[in-house]
Amino acid sequence: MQRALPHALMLLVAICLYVLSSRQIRRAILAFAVQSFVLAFVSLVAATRSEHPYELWILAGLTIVIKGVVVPLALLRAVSRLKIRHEIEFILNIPSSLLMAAVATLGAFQVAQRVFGQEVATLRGALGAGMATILLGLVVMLGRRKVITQIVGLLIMENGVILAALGLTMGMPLIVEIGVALDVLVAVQILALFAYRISSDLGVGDDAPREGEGPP
Amino acid sequence: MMLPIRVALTLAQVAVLAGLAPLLDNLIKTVKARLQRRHGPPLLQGYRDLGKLLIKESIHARPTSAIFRLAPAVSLTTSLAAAATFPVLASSALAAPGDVLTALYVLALGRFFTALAGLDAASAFGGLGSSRDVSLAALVEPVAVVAILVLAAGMVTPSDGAALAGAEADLLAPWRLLAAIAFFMVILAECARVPIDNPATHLELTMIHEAMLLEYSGRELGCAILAARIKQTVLLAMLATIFFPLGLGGAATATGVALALLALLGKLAALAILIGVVESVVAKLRLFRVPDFLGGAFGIALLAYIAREAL
Repeated sequence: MQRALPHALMLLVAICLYVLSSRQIRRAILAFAVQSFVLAFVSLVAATRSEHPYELWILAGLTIVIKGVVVPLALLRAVSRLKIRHEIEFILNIPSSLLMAAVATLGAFQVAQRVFGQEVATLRGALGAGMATILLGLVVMLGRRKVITQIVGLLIMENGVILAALGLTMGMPLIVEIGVALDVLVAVQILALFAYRISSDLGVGDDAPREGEGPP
Repeated sequence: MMLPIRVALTLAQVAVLAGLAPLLDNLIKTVKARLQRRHGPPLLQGYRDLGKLLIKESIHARPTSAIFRLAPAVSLTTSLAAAATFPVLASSALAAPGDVLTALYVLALGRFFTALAGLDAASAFGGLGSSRDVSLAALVEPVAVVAILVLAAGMVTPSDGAALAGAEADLLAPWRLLAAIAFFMVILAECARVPIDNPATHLELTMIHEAMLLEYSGRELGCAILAARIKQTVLLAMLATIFFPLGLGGAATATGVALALLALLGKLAALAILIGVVESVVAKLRLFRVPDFLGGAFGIALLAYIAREAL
């Protein structure tokens, strides 16, 4: 389990790249679910090295149940309610968003090593992978037009925050983790509802400026 | 090591890779056929097809120049030369100079001549294939080079024998796996395999490699096809021995070479089956989606670099 930690960290970043290069919303949501499971695995690995393993076990359970199962199912339901049949619409095309992602990943690992290189010895590379995941989630949000894919980007950023916290301080206090998990659950429900209302009221599900709207 | 042994080893390696090439391609076809519940061609059909082509005469279109006649020989030579540049049977030094990067650029010379020949006959299809092939090459090259450089960090050359022999400790390290995945995607693009090109047809508007060979016939067609097969085997052997140097013996003893040969055969067969499965499962990409595929490969290669540096 210890030896698979670098593989798991690389898998977390690689899943972000997959989301960036996939054209179908359902695949992006499933990739996010897989990423949550890998994150739960990383927190189990952290639990074997921590003084308070129970908190990290609970964190892994919360991650699997809420972000691995409930949130993806809610998003998939929202997708089918919105009747989104076509592919993801891009603002940035795939090669240039992958290029941005590459620069962001290199920068994240560099910063993590330069700034925190000495202090962080417990989970080697987790901080860098977490920061890279945050930035890649941001790239997902920036590059997509549909509201649902922007929610996926936000959730990936949230996974990155948890991962960076694991790498920096072996996780946040349990009460914070539980609060964050519930926040995510509620936020996804509200955002999905918003997306549904936007599309049913305006007949569209994206954030592109309409005719006659926007700054004068 | 003594020079005669090195020369013999190099020649034996080229002979093995060239001799296996039609069989390996046939194996991929058999795997695909089995997955479609067909029998597929007999295992030696590749040799028979090439033999038939090699005894037939070649016919040239009227506008073609000497380059058209030269190109199949050039690509066959470059494929054979690339087979001699990196260790396959024993990790000790070969007689030929160079390393894996040399092999990539020697193969690029063959590709250049194939593209020229595609333009030379002045047919619409040939020019289309050439322009597509050259723009594909520009996208493939950075991925291949980054993947190999990740591997070569800390070695004298990318195919340094001593470093290869010592690589067995971290055979499943994440950077090695990621670099191998990126290089496998490169092979799919280089050998005109399914997500990029369809090797099973020459009647499609989307074809790339076959479009350049449309004007060839007889002996020259046989040469061009054999060159492509050998190139495919060389690249797969590169993936099998440089990225996963398992079973690659240190000294050129008889048992060491025999063991390396067995390991090579096993790894090549596994890769052929993998390609057959990938070709059966994955749909061919539209031409304008190819940069997405290779961009992803570049991202994976870069991730391999990060994994090597930071983890």
